[in-house]
Amino acid sequence: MSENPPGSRLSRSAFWLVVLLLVGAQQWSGSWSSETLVLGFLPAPLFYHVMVSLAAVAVWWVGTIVAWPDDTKGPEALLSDAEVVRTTGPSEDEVSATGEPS
Amino acid sequence: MTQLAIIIAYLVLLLGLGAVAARFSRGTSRDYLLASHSIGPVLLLMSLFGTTMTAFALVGSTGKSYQLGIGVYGLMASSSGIVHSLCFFVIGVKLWKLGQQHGYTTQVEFFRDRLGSHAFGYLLFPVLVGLVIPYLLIGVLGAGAVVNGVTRGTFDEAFASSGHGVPPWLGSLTICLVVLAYVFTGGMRGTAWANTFQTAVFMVLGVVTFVVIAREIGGGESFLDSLRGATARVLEAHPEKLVMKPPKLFFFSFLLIPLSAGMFPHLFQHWLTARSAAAFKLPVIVHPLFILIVWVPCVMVGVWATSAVVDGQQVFAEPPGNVNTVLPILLGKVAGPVLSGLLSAGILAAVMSSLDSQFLCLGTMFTNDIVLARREANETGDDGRVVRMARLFIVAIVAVTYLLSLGEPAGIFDLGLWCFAGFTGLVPLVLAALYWRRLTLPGAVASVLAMVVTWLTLFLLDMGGYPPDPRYKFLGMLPVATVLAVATIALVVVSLATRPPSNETLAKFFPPNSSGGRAIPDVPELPD
Repeated sequence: MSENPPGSRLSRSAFWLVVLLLVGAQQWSGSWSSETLVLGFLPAPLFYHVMVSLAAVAVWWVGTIVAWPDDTKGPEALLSDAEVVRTTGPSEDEVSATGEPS
Repeated sequence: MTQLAIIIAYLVLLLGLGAVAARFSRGTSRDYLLASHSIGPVLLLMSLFGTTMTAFALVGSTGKSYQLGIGVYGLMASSSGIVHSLCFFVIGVKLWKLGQQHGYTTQVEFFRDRLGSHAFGYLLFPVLVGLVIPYLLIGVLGAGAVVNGVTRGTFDEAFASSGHGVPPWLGSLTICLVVLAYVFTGGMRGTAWANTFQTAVFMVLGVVTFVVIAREIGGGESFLDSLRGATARVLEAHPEKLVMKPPKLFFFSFLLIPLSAGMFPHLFQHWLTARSAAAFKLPVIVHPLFILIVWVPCVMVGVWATSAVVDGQQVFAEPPGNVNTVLPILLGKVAGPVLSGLLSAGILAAVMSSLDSQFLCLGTMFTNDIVLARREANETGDDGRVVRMARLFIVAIVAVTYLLSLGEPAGIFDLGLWCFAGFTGLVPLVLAALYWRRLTLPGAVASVLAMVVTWLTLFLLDMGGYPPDPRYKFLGMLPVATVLAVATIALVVVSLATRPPSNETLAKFFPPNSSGGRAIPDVPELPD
C-alpha cells in the first residue's frame, strides 16, 4: 500500500482551499431575500443552493484526482460488482468457518 | 385498498430479496457482517446514499418545507452534499484502510485498539446505541405516518380514529418486522442489495411523484407550465415561503449537523464493505448530486402544499397536526390508487433502506463489542448462541424504539436534529484518532463524557426535552454547535495534559512516512 497520495502538495493545498471557498459559498446570504423566480418557477435562493450542490460534485471530482488520500487499487477494484461475484471464490478461512454469523 | 395491496406486495418482494441474498452467502461471519469486502463503487454509492437518506430526507423535509419554506434545502441539503462527501473522503477511506489492515468490524474495535483500552469500548458502546435509538425512531415514525397517510379512507368501519386508514402503530410494526426478517436472512449482502434496490426505487418514484404532484397542482399544458402554476399559487398565498430568512449564525450551525455521518455506526460498517479505497470515489463525487435529485422535489412539494388546491378545494385548509403526513396526504389526494400505492412504496423504500443497516449494525456491535469481547482468547464458544443473543438484542432495541414511537411523536425533522447533534459531538474523537498522534485515552474519555453531559443538559433545558422545541437555540445556534465545541475542547485540553501514547501504538496507526507530525519520544503505555 502506498502512503503517497497522487497530486502535488500544491495541488492538494489548492483543492482544500477550494473546499473552504465552497463552504463559504454555501453560507453566503446574498440571494436569500431575492424574489426572482428562475425559469418562472424556481425561487432564486433555492436555485443558488442547487448551483452550490452542482459545484460540490465538480469540486469532489477534482479532489479524487488531485488529493485522494489513498492510491490503493487492487486488481479487483477494476471489476464490476457482478464480475467479482463470478470470479471470487471463498478463501480458505471462509471454507473452514462455522456457517453461522458470529 | 389498492394502495395497501401494492405496499404489501412490495414488502413481500423485499422478503424475497433477503432470501435470495441468503443463497449467495459464503457462510462466514465476515460475509454476513461485511459481505466479504466485495462491494464495488456502484453498490457502495447506492447503499451509502440509501443509508443516509431516511424518513428525515423525504417525509421530514417535505413537512419542514411546508412549515418553513424553501430555506430547508439550504439548511440541510446543500450542506449535506458538501459535508457527507467530506466525511467519506477524510474519514471513510482512512477507516476502510485501517479496517483492512487490522480486521475491524465496528467502531468500538477501532477505538479500543487505537487508544489501547478495552474499557473504552464499554463507555462508547452505550453512547452509540443510545444515539442510534432516536435515529431508528425517525424511521419507525416515518413508516407509520406514510402507511397511515396513504391508506386513509380505505376501511369503511375500522380504524375510525386513524381516518379509516392503517393506524400508524400497525404500519410501523409491520415495517419493523419486514426489515428484521430480511436483515436476519440476508445479512450485509442482503442489506446492501436491498439498499441498492430501494435507493433506485425511491429515486425513480420520487421524481415521478414530483411530476404527478406538479401536474395536478399546477395544471397547464406543458410540464414547465405546471411548475410555474404550482409556484404561482404559493406566490399569491404564501410568498414568505419562497425566500430564506434564517439568522446567519443559526444557519451556520446547520452546517455541523451532517458532520454526524462521520460517526454513524452503520455507515462505518458500510465503509468496511468496500472492495478497495478506489470504490469510494464514485460515492464521494455523486452523493451531492443524488441529494439534489431527492431534496429539491421534496422541498418544492412541501412549499406547494401550503397553497395547493385540488378539485376546487384547499388540500390543507388547516395545517395538519402532524407535518410528517403532508407528503402522504398530498399523494392520496392527487395520485390515483395505483400510482399512490407505488409512490408510497418508494417512500417506504427510503425509510427501510436506513432501518436495515441500523438493525444489522446493532447486532454486529453487540456481538463483537460486548459478547465476543468478553470471551477469553482461548475459549471456544457456541456461535449459534452468540447469533441468537445478537438477534435478541436487535429485537429488544427495536421493541424499545417501537414503544417510544407510540408516545407523542415529535416532528421527524426536529428529532433528527437532536440525534445528529450527538453523533457530531463524537466526530472530534474519530478525527483525532485518525490524524492526531497526541490523542490520549483520558482525552478521548473526557471528550465522550463532555459530549454526553452537554447534550443531556441542553436537551433538558429545551422546554422539558421531549418533544423537542423546533425554535430552541443556544447562543443563537442549534445545540450541535455547543456540543461540538465542548467535546473538542475537552479532547484537546485533556490530551495535552496527559501522557502521550507510546510510539508502538503510534507506529500501528501512523506509518513513518505519513504526514501528521513528528514522532513522540517513547513513553510507557497508559494503564487501561
